[in-house]
Amino acid sequence: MRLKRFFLYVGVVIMAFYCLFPIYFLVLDSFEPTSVSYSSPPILYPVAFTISNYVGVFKDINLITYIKNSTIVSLSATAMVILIGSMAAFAVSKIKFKGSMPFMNFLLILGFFPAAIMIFPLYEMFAKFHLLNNYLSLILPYTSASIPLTVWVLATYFEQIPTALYEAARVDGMSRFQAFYKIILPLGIPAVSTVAILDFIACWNEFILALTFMTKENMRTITVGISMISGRFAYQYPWGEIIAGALLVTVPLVIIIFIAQEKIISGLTAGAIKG
Amino acid sequence: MHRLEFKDVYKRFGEKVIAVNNANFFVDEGEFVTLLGPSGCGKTTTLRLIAGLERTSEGEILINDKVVNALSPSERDVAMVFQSYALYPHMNVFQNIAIPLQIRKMAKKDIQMRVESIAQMLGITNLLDRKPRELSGGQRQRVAIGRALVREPNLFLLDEPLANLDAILRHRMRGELKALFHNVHGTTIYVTHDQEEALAMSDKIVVMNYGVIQQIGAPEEVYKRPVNKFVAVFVGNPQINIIEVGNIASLSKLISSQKMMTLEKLSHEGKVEIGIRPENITLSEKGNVKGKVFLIEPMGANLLVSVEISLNSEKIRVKLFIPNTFNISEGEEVPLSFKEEEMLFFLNERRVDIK
Amino acid sequence: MPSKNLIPKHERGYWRAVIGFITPVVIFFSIFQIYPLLKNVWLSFTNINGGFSLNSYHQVLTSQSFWQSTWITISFSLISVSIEMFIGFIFALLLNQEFKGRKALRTIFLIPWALPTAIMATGWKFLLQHSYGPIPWLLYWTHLTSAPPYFLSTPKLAFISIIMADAWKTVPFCALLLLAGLQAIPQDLYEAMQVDGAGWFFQLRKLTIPLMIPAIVVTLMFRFLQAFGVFDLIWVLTNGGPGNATMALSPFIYQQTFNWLDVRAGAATSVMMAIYILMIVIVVWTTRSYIGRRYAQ
Repeated sequence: MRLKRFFLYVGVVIMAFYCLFPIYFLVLDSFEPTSVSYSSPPILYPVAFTISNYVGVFKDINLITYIKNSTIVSLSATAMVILIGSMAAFAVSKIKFKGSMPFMNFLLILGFFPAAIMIFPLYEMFAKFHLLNNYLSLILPYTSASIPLTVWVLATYFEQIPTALYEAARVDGMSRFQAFYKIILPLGIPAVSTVAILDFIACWNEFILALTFMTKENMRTITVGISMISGRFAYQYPWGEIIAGALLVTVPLVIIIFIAQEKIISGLTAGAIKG
Repeated sequence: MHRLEFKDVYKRFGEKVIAVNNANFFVDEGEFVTLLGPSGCGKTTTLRLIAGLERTSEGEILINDKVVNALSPSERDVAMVFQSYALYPHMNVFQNIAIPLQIRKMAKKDIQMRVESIAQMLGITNLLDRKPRELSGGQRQRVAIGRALVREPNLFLLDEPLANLDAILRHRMRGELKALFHNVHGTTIYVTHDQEEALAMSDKIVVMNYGVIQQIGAPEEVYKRPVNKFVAVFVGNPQINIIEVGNIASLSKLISSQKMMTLEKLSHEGKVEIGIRPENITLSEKGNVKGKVFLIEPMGANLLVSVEISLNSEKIRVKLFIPNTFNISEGEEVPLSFKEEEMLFFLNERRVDIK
Repeated sequence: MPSKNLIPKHERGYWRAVIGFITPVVIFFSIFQIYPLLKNVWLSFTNINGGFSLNSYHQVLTSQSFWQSTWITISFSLISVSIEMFIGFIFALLLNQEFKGRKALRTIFLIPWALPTAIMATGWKFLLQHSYGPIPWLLYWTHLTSAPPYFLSTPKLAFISIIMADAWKTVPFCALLLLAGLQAIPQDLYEAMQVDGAGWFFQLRKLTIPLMIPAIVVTLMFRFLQAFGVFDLIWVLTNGGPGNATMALSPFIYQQTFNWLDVRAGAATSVMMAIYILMIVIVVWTTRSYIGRRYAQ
C-alpha cells in the first residue's frame, strides 16, 4: 500500500519536472548577463544576477509594439468570431434546420486544413486590396479559422438550454433575433467565455499568417517578433533579452490560464468528447 | 468456516462524522444477516468495511477468526453485489460472470461449466452473450448476483440489491434471493432500509441508526421485543402507535392498575410512552374504550383505521389494522379492545419490562 | 444531436431567419478557407499563360523533395502522436489519483499547451544549442552521450529535436484530455473488480483501457491531424534543416511559394497535402463509427 503511494509521488515529481525544466533554464538565462549565456560549457546554476535583459528587451526589441499588435488582432478576431459564431450556433442548435449536421461536419473538416495550404491565395488577395501590413489581414482570417471550434462548442452548449425558454420567448412575441440575444445568448455566457478564451489563445499564438502578412517591423505580432530577431544583430543573438522578452509575454498568458483553468479544461474536454 | 466478527469497530470521516460507532456483532456460518436502518445510518459503510473498500478507524474485523483489517479487498475473498450492480459495460454477461474465475486463473473449460451452471440457476442462460446495456433492471441484477455466486467466497455482501427494482419484482425476488443464498450455504450480509425485506429474509437483523447498532436479534425478537423506541417505530408496517399521556391516570381503561402504579413511579424518572401495534387493537363489543373513526385507509385485504379516543380529559389518536370484513364508516363510534399483553412500554425511549 | 424541429418550416420567414443567422459564418469561411483551396486547385492546373497544364504536378510529384517532405510529415506525425499518447496516458493515470497539489499540477500542465509554439521553439533553440545550451551538456555530463550532441545541425538529431519540442508541448495536453476520459469511468466498476480479486494491472488491462478506447481514438485522430500541419515549430527551430531533414509539408509549401517564388509548385503541393488530409479524415470517420459501435456503453 505504502509502496504504491511512493511511486505515485515519484511520478508526480517527474511530471512536474517534465513541465518545468525548460522553464527553469530559460528563467535562469534571462537573469544572466549575455556573457554568461554564451559561456561554453554552460553554467547551470545561478551565477551573476542582472535585470539588464529585462530592461534591454524594451530598447532593442519592440516588445510593446508587438504586444499591442497581438492584442488588437486577437481581441478583434475573438469578438468577431463570438458574434458570428454564436449566431450560427444558435441556428444549428435551436432552429435546427435541415442540414444542421452536415453543416457542422463541414465546418469540422474545414478546420483540419492547415494554414499553409491557404496562405498564398490569401496573400495574393490581400496584396491586391492593399491589405498587407494591415490589421485586417490577420483579423479576418483569424476569425474564419476560429469558426469551427466556436460554433461546435457553442452549439453543443446551446443544445442544453431548455427549448421551452426559446419557445416561450417566441410566444411572447419576440423575433428570432431578439430571442437569440435576449434569452439564449445570456444563458450561454459560460460557454461563450470559455470559447472566447480558447479563441483568444489560438489567435495570440498564431504564427504563419502573421509571418507572411505583417512584414513591417511595427506591425509584427508577438510570436513573429520574438522568433525573428535575427538579421538585426551583427554577431551575437542577445539570447538573454530574447528569452526575457519571451518570458514577459508568457507571464500574462500563464496568469490568464491560472484564472481560467477550469473553463479551459472543460472547454477542451467537451470539445474532444463531443468531437 | 465462514464467520464474520466486528470488534469495537469505529469509522470516522474527518473530525465530525462518525459513520460507524462502536460496532460489535458476529455472523455465523451460513447465516443470513441483514443490516437494517434509515439512510445514512452507517449500514453501507459497514458493508464496505467488511469488503475492505474502507479502512477502519479503530477496531478489528475478523473473517474466519483472522484479523483482516490490513487486507485489500482482493485479498479478503468476499463477493459483493453493488447497489448499482457495477456490471462491466464493455463485456457481455458471460464475461461479466466469468471475471472472478478468470482472475483466479481457472481453466477455460472449468469457467465455461461453472458460468453456465450459475446462469441456469438464475435463469439467464439465454442472455449470456448480451451486453449490460441490453438488459432490463431485473436481468442486470441477476447477472450481478451471478458474478457473486460464481465464486465460493468467505462471505456474500449485498448492498440494497432490490432497491432499483419495481415493487412487484422486489416482492418476488425476496424469496428467490433467500433461497439462492441458502442453497449455496453462503454466509450472507444484506443491507437494506426496507424493514419488510429484513423481516422476511433474515436469520438475524442488525438495526442501526446514526452509526450505532440499536439491536441485534432474530426478526421475531426485533419485532416483538424491540429494545428501544427507534427500533419499535422503524420496524413494522403499518407503524406502531406511540401513546404519550400527561396524566397516567387516564390510562385506567387500557392497562391494569398494577401497571399504572409502576408507570406512575417511572414517570418521575422521565418521559413515559406506550407502544401498541395497530394489529393489536381490535373492534370488540366487549371493548371498554370508545373511539371515533376519522379516517379509513383501505389496504387490500385489510383496513388501516384512524380512531380518536378520549381518555378522561385527554384525546389520543391511534390506528388499527383490521380485516376488511368489518363494516364501518367514517364518523362512526366504535368500541375498541387493546391487547394489554402486547403493549410495549418506553421510559426515555428505552423499553422497559413492566409486570 | 438535432432531432426536434423548433420552428415549423412553413412558418413565415423560417428560411429567411436561418439564412440570416448562418450567412456571416458562410461568408467568412467561403472567402478565407474555400476560396484559397479552390484558387490553389486552379493555380495547380494552369500554367503561366492561363492554359490547362499538368506541369506543376509533374514537377512536384517527380521531385525528391516532395516525397521526402511527405515522408518527414508522416513519420513526424506518427512518432510524435504515439509518444504523446503513451506518455500522456501514463500521466493521466497518475493525475487521476488523489494527491496533494493535484490541482496545482493540473494548472502547470496547461502551461506548455498555452505557450505560443513559435516562442517555445525559440526557447528550445537556445536550450539545444551545442556550445552553450543546457540540454546537450546535461546529456554529456550524465554520461548519456559521449559528447554534447549537435542537435540542430545534425539531420537525425534535428528531427529528434522537433519531436522532443512537440512532445514537451503536447504531452500535458493529451494527458488532460485523457484524464477527462478516465474520470468518466464510474468508480464502482473499479471497486467491483477489486472485490472480485483483481490487482491493479488486471484492472488497467481489462477495465481502464477498454473503456478508454473511444477517448483515446478521438484524441489520437485530432492530434494526428494537428501534427500533420506542423509549421511554427519547424520554421523557428530548424527552418527545415539542416539540409531538408525537417522540411515537413507545411514549411515546404512555404519555402516553394515565398523563398523560391514557385507559386504553382506551391499550389500543387498544397492540393496534394489537402488530398492527404482528406484521406486521413475518411479513415478517421470510418474508424470512428466502427469504434463507436463496438465500444458503445
